[in-house]
Amino acid sequence: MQQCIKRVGHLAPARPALAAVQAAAALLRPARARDSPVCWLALGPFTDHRALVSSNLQLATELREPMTGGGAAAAGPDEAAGLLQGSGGSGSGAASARRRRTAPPPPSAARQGLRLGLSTAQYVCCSLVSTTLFYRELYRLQNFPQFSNQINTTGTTVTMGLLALVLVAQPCSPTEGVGGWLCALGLDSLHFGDSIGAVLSGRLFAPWMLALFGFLNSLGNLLQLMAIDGLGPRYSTLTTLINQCTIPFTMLLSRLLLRNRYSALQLLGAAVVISGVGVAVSPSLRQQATMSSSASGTTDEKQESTSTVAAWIAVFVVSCIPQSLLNVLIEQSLPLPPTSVELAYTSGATPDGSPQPQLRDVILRTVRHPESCAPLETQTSTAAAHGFDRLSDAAAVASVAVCVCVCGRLRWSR
Amino acid sequence: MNLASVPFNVVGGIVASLWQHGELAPLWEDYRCARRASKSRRVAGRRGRSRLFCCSLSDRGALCMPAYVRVHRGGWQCLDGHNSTGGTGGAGDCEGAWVDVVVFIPMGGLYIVSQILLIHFASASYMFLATAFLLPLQNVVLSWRLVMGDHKGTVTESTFVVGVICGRDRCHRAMIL
Repeated sequence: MQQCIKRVGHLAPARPALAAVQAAAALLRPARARDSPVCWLALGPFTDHRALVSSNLQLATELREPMTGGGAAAAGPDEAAGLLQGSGGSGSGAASARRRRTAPPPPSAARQGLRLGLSTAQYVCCSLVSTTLFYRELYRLQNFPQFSNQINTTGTTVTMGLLALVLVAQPCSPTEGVGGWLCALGLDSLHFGDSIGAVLSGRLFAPWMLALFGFLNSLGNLLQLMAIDGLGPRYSTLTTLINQCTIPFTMLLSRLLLRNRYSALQLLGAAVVISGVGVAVSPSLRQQATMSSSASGTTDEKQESTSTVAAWIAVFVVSCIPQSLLNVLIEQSLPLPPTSVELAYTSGATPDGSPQPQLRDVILRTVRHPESCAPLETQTSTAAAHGFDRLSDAAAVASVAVCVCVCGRLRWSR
Repeated sequence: MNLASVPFNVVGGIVASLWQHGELAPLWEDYRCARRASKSRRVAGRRGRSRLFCCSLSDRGALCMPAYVRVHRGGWQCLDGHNSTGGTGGAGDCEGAWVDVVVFIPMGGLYIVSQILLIHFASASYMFLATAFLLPLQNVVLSWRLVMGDHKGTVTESTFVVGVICGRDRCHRAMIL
């Protein structure tokens, strides 16, 4: 760890929280990773990105010089800083032209399509399995919905916290244990560590905002759980439909709060959602009324039964409002520019055509200065881990694994 | 955000437990007492900090905590496989409940991650679209006795897509079985 820090040289934790996360990350980091170039990539969120990426850029332009034939050595840290700010105009016209010449090709449409398809499959599997498990759990613990809410929130928080720590600490390599598995899910592309760093370093860390997010999240969950519990398993399929009310509510709130405008087609879509919920709810209420009238009991009891179902449905609809407000508030508070680590990792060009610093530059640096980092094999595997060729296969494996789990569970149930 | 919602979950859980057990009345009375005291102080022209409740914090704790503790104790007992009537209704089906909880928590985390990934690679609109297309499938699974056991739901109109494909009656029978 110390070696790694010494090598990075720019380590400057801004807050004690960052230092704590960093220490935890160091504990999780496997011994082999400490000697790899990934060590400082993983520590990226806690370093002075500008200095890091500037030096990488400088080195990369030096390396490109023979290829482009220009005076690339002139591209210094100042120019790199300008690039980081997204201006792309701090250098001379020749430098801009040079950058345009060296701009990497964007990912092919086929690859993007494949990536989208696999992430959709992953989402579909996870959504299906987790929602089913959620309902199963809720009906098992039907007498204790608040307890269920509490344990789910706490458990998920702990799981996500551990996941984030592992992501910050582990180098992404398909061949390495937990890190490889997490990479297989495509998580490395999220720059999780950087997101945590961004939140903790104050860009999003407004306590009142977090408290508001927490309150809305909690309120929505609580109302939803109570409604699902109140309606019972008979209406489980109905609740998944009513949950779609989030879409029109979000549109309405974003119109009111953010002054967003929607096209006629989008409004028509929202109207279809509302009418769809109406179509789904009204027969259920009619069915309930029919069942109540055929069942034994006083007229008051029958009316109460129908009105109770209607009331719980109304509670479920209302539970979509905090969720929608949460969506709108998050949209309002998250228009962040790309961070330096994102710039360092992503391929493609900035809107003005200038190239972004890339991971390959970082790898080139380690190739150029082998004495400072691990052997070349490690670097190659690191490149593969952070590159774009691995994602499709790994995500496919992960999706298949989820499907196998589901099938296995079904067989086990049978 | 989940971390931020934990304290609110505790407070919300207490309020909901009290409400479901009909024990919110004393707390409401306590609040009204404080309002009355504040009003009479204003009428008399006296100054002083207005309070939200008359009772002390420990008294309020004594009012609130039993219901909350009861719910949590019952929840843990249920996880342990013991049916308990300490919750909102009759005895539930607690046998093996811990399996569902233990499996759901990591899956819930994975779901959040896959959601973020889909938004990252595509967009939020695309995610909502995927969710909408998933609805019939989700409903089929929730109506499936094989998966949901005795807690299976009833098939709604949204499953008509599946119904059209494989014949509504046949599908319905398959789901009931």
